[in-house]
Amino acid sequence: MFEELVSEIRRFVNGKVEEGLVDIRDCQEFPGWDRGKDVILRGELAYELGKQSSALLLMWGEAENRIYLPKKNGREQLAVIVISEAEVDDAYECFRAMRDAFYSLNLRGVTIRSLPSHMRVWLRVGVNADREGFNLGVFGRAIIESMNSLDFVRATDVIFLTSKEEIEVLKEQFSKGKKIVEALIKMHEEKVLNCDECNYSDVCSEIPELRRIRERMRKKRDKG
Amino acid sequence: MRIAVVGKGGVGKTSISAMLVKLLSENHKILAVDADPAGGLAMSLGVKVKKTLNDVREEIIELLRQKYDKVEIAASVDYKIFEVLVEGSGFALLAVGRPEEEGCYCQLNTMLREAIEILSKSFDYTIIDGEAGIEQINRRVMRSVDSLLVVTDMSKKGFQVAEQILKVAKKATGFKRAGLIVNRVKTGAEVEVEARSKGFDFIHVVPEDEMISKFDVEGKSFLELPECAALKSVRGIVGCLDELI
Repeated sequence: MFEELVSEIRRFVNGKVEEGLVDIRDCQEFPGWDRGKDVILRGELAYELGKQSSALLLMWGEAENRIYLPKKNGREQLAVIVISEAEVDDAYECFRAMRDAFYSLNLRGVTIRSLPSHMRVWLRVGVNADREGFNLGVFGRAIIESMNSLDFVRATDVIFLTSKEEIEVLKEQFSKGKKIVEALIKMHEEKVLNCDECNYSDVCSEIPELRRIRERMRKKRDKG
Repeated sequence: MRIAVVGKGGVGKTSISAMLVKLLSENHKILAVDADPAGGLAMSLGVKVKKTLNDVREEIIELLRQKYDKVEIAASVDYKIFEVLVEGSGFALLAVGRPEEEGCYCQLNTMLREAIEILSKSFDYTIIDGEAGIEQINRRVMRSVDSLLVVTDMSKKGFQVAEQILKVAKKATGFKRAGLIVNRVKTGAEVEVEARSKGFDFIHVVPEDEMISKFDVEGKSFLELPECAALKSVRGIVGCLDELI
């Protein structure tokens, strides 16, 4: 479902790696972090990412528990791309489980808020957490641990982007990823299987897996 | 600790709430909840509210129309509540806006209440400046408060409403301790206060203070309030609350 999108994003990020702008790190290089739901206010804030603009993609594809980190951190924008190597029987359930795993991720000394319907993520890092060594690598490891705890996930890669320009370049991919997920959700939750009635028919026409899901659902409905 | 400041309209609930926020935020992290639709607490704390909880509620209702699932809605509630928090020094303010309507959105209302309850766990104190009268207590908005501070002035009606609030709160909320705060008491009237107060765990008298009237009239932030008789007295309420911990 996400093959083309994953390969486009990988191509772009690998280019950045070759240019020396992005580092590839093994997630074990970063420490684990305690869980805890905290609210970080301005007065105790070290930095925040994603408040003004952010993007979040949860997809599946090949992965090796690696974290892609920008060498130079932007200080405002944030894009988090999560690619899990997964055994996907039911794409809808798989996406929901990954989304739930991401949403329920709370880390001590940090505020993480995500808006799945808009694929947005907002990260606030407190002074204490920053002092104790919290960084995007630590965040990446926590995301990987959460995703890998799902029984159908074998490994996960996390790509972080914090540069406005880089996020802008991938704007089309983020928008496409969001549309694929929206089409998937709409198909399951609203049971709209008639393409003439659906706003997402263009995405479905492009993504064979979505077409297959729709056909499976239509056959099931006709039998039932 | 969650503290609700309630009472009849015009008795000075918002001033007391603002002074509590000022004093407690010196050493603690405070969540101030402006539960009065008139929204006076924001002004008393010198902050501007752009969006209220009711705006969040309406945005979420829009999501419900698009049939998003429970996790999606819960995540959105969390995100949007965090987005509407107005931050000051040592405190964050959440304005409730227009009161909630139960009806077909009662599940969402519950979710919002739960989200505030979870949010308040990240703060040392939550101070809720309540709507005038007993309506809000009846709607169980204050269900999970630890301390109830019922404010009255010296008027007979004020004391009556205070007693009524206490009675309703005993049924509708799970508060552990209720204090009666008698506001704007003129020198010499303290003895009369004792005689007229029944059923409260503690009674606290806040003297009439021109400084408070001046700040009210000029719309100045209570965070800038200099040491004065009323503020000194509210420090005593903070002492009573500390005893609760």
